[in-house]
Amino acid sequence: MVKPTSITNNIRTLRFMAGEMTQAELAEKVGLTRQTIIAIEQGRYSPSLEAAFKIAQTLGVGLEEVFQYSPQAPKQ
Amino acid sequence: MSNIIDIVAQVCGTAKPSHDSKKNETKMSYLERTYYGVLAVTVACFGWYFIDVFASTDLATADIREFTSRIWIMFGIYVVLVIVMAIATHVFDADAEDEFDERDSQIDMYAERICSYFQATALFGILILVMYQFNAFVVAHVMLAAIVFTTILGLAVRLYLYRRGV
Repeated sequence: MVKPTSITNNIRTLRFMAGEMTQAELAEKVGLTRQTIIAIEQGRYSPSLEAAFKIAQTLGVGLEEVFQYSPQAPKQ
Repeated sequence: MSNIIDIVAQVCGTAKPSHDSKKNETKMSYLERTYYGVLAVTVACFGWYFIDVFASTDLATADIREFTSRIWIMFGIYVVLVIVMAIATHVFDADAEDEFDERDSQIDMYAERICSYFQATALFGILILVMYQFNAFVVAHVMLAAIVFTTILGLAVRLYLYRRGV
């Protein structure tokens, strides 16, 4: 039922590497709801460019370390 | 069956926290629960009205003026139920997130766009009914049915997109 997406991400891993940051903390810092962070992690939503940059900045890494684009990528 | 029970528990805000992270992650937002509530209220309220009216009315001779008070009462009940349901949803879940972000806007936009096609089609249909001089009862109820249908469709599309993703 989940829509397949070509964008994958490492947010879950990077959250743990950033002091075990919770989804709620990340959501608050980037100005999204926790449900949206969950949807992004599960590949059910591709964030706007601005939100993607904010997530990368909050996690202290570059954009390409957080998000990867691969047209043939299997859904998460 | 367990999926239906999960949905009902989540809509009511009585779902128990699970140690399974996947289950916790799919917890509904306040908006999603509100949409389920409004959908239930819409189907119940207008469903009751249409069944009640069409079961006891001869469409060819019906006079809309006989139904005016019933329509206003139904709208009143609907608005009150939606407000009560929205407040109850908030009260039963103190941790509810009622913020609206870019994902909610995008889902809203998709749902509104799909509904707009049906609204345009319904308007055209109503125009035809008026041109062929159908009585006011039929025209009014086709209008009402179109409003109810697009409301239900909009809510269903939103709920589908929240689960499936956009």
